[in-house]
Amino acid sequence: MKVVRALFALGSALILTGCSWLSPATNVVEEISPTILMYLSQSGDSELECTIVVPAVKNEKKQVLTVRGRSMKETRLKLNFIHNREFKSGQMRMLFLSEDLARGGVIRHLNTLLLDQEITDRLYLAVVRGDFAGFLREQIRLQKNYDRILYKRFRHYENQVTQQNLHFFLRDYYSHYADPHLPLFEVRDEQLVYTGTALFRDDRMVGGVPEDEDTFFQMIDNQHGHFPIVPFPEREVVLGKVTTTRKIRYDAGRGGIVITLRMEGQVDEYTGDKNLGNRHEAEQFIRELKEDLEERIRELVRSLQRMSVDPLQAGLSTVTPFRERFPGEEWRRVWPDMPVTVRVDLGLTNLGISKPEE
Amino acid sequence: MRAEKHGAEGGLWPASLGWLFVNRLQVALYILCLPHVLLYPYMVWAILIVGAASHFHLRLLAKWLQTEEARLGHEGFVRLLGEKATRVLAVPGAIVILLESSIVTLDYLEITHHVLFPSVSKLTLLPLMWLASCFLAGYGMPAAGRFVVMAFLGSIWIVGLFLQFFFPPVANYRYLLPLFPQELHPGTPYNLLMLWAALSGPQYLAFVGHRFAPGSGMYRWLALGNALSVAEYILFFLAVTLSFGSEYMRKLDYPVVQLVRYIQLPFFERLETIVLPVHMVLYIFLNGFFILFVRDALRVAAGAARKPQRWHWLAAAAVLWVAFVYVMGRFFWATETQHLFWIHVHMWLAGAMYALVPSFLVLAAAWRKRRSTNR
Amino acid sequence: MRWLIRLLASLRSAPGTEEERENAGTPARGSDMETLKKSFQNIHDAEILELENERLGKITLLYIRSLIDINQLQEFVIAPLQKAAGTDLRDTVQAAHLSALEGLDQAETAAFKGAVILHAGGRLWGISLSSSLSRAVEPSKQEAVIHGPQDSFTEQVENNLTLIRRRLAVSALKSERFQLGGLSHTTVILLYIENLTNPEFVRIAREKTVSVKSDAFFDSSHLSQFLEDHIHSVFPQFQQTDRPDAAAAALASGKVVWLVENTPFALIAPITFFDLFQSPEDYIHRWPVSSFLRGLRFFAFLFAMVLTPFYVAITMHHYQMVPLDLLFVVLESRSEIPFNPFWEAMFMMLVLEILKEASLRMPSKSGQTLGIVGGIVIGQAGVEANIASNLLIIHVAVTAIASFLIPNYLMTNSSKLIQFGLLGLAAWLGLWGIIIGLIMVLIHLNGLTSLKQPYFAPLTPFYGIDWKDTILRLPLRWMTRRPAWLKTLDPNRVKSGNSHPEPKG
Repeated sequence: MKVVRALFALGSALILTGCSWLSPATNVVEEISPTILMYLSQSGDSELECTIVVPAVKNEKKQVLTVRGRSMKETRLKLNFIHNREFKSGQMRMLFLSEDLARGGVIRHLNTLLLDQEITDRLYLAVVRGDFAGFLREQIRLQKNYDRILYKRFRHYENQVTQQNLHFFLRDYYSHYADPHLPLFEVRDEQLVYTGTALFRDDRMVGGVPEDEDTFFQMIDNQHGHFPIVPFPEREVVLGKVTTTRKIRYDAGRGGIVITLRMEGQVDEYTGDKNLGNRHEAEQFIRELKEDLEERIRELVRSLQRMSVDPLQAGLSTVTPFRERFPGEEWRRVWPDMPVTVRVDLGLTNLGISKPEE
Repeated sequence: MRAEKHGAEGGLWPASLGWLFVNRLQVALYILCLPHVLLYPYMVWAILIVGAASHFHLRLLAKWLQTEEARLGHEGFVRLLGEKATRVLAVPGAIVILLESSIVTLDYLEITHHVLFPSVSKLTLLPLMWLASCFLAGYGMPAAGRFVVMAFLGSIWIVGLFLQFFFPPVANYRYLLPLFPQELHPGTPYNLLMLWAALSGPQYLAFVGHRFAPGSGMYRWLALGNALSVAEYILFFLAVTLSFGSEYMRKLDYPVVQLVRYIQLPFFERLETIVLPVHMVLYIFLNGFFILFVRDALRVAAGAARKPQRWHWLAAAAVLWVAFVYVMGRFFWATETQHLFWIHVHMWLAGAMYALVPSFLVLAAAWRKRRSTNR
Repeated sequence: MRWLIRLLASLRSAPGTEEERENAGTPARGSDMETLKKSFQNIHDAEILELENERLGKITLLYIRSLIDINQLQEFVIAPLQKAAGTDLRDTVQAAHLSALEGLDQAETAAFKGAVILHAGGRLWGISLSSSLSRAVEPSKQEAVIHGPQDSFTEQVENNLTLIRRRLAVSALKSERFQLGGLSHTTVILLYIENLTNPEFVRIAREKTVSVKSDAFFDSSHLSQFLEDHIHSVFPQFQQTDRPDAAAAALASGKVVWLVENTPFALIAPITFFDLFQSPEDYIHRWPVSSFLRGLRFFAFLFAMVLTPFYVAITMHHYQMVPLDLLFVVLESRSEIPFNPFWEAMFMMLVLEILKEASLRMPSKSGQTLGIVGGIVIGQAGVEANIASNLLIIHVAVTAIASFLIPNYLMTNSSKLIQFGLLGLAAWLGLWGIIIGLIMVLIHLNGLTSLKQPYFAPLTPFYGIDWKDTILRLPLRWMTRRPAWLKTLDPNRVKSGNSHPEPKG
């Protein structure tokens, strides 16, 4: 009786499903090409060029394929047609955008990525200057695992270089009080060089933080940071093992943003003339370094204000538990003229010499 | 928890099981869709307020469960409402149960279809869930009630995975501001109603009062379950708000599911392929429970409540349930507008049932008592 | 035709009517003895001895030689009878088990149980002189422990009872004897501790035992299949053990034990799913170590069931879950396999099952060769011929080893069956399918009962206090109460005045 009941149940179940597909589209792993790297660039006026590194197995050669289309999904379709296996984006880990595309506006493409349920939100984004596709082709020829090596490069660093994934980018984009930013790479001398941070206003790239200012940008962008090496060429000193803590707050009395940065580190290399063993000279040295830092950071923030971008999320500090001081688009209007005070607390635990003089 | 006093077959549930029931019944649909409806961080107070209201409302339910009529099951209802009224009321009761459970199931299947199996129609996944629910229902109400522990344990650990979203860098505590707004956004009444519906579910316990072991103190277990549900809602809401911020949250369909996709454990990524299926144990439990309710409703409506149970009632209930869900899913759930419509329907229906059922029963019991003492 | 005549003849000489029965000992007629002799025809080891004694008169002895101890017969029965001084048989025969028999059926059964049937003074008597042919008490091969008692049950049910009684030296340990089986007349002894075990269990156990109808039982597992509530389940609802300490511990907790003749395995009920993962060694190791090992067993059970289906689900549906480095390894290893992951896994699992079954029946001399041939050569050759990927071989091998972590032998094979089911579901719907399969297993476990008690206690229904001894094994000192799910009449293990120290002499 029980068996009859079970069969009845199963039969009715199968009949009730009607004509819908019984079996899901299989992603049998040997029949698909899970790509982990994609590069989008502008080609011509409105066409999109999509480059993918094809993961190869055993006897196949690793390839870099490029197609053109009007939209991202169209390029994916075309890629499927030119290769033996279907491309699947579930394992996509890195998306590189060309600078032209970034300057033109990227939200269209990122929205597509967001809606695609196969693509993870932890997708690393980056802007690349130069002929990345050619560079990729060359590198893949030399090292088969170049895409994995690149991925490991992204995964390794924390707070020392800009590192953004899709989740944070979109969060900053949609927020009224922040603007997104992405790491900027350049293809230079057959190397992929990290050249600072690309700054976006909404979804268009408007400029960048240059290489030599980038460490300071990282210091004020992240709440906590650790930097093994911070060089100050003008001051002839290299600080090491620097940990930073930054606080941003809005001073309602003065009506401006206050950025407080606490830095702790030690002197790794000093090539200047001062005798750091002498207490007075050391204090002077630290004071001058501190002022220098404050000036540099102030200048950096001013350049951000000039570009009218707020990657530091300074606007969020203007929100109180009771109200938003600058709701909606107000902050965008107010930020370029907002007075910003920078304070640096510098603590150097070791001045780079064996024992200080008495 | 105190042990059952009786053997397995005619097993009664200890009163302490009440909190699990209440919690799981309440959390069913809304845990997935509540955060992006509430949106603003100050709605956390709304959750607390409505939670407190529900807390007091559960007193009515506890009072009903302690009356003699609740302890008698079907006989009690007959005494309260009369034989005819009980039979007549069983029909809309069954329809309400069918509606609510099918909306809940179809919503879950919709999410599974969207996230996990875009190429498989959600109605293909339905028979398996239905079979599992029938399997559970086939073991009878005592075993189905015991299964709530499994349903609870199977779905509560997901909360643990969300704790990583309370720490930077994913969490940005400034997204919680403003917490005490000076003016509320216009959708607030609607949100409050949805919160009330989100805390509905315990009213079904009113119909299984006779399954609980006798003893007082039902209220504290119900209240504990309610408190746990409120805590869960707050936790999920906060995790989503901290990670996304109100503006971004507005653009997403299901921020909770999106967040599940963001979870990263040392060797595991893309946990939505595990978390979403495991969440299914809750729905299978609820559907099994509801199929048993429909069976009892059918028996009452047909006047066979006093006759011994035979298997064809359960088969009829099961077939009715799956046919209802299938028809709704195939013909009335095609577009997103229809989906939203059904969520509204569920909201109003569940909210109304939660508010009315315990109050009505308590009033009826009190009126009857007064009538019998006056005589 | 002849059989009809014989049948009619036997009917004519059937035992007497009601009025002719007396209380102690049936006054047997000469024709009864003849009937008995007739039923022992064509049994070559049935012997009939006729003695003459002046006091007692003619005594006929009837016995089956292969079932009795001949020396004892000579010494304690024949010799005293020949020198009989009194007129009462009970004074003469110095055997301890002299009992009066009522009826021919009882006499026949007794004879085949190793009794000597005496027909004297118009009465039938039985003297139990069963042969002591049996195995010595050896260590258990199935549940060996390194530290701990090394004795185990044998096929003699009375010896087994001795082993248990030595461990539970109280009068509350009750033993009820049943004889089941029309052909085998197997003695089954039901043991329980009165005033401790829930009387409901004893009642159900008794009712079930009495209602067993079959003709022959050769093992306790045959018996358990008649006693259990759910015959179609893959999960055993009785625990079988050949360790007397395990049986005694079960009795002391409030369970019921059946001892079955001709098998060393005793049955224990009611049990839960979690009891099947407990080993006697758990109480010998230090408690953190035992807790760890128990947790490992549960994990291994789940792992063994789910690992290969998980692999199939991921390679067929959820490639996005694979960590990046492993993805390339999987791609490489799968690239030249002609089969689907599902068929590959199915094939390798079937080969493994065939190997396991074959190794059971292989004579011990060739067993080792088979292990090498099967395990290493087939595995390696399979990978090199691209029939299977090396990742899968690892999974299948680990699964095979993990499945042996479960102490209960029957459960090992249950998990295999579930694994095949999950494999099919994994191939169809990926992880969703595996999870729904697991949910169905959980629903089944939730509804199972053992002796009508819930099988999945203390999880459903939830008994918090019992978790002291389920996955964790907390110190014995903290386990002051018996398992709550057994609803014992006396839940306290510790009582003042439990031990009575001997007075100093």
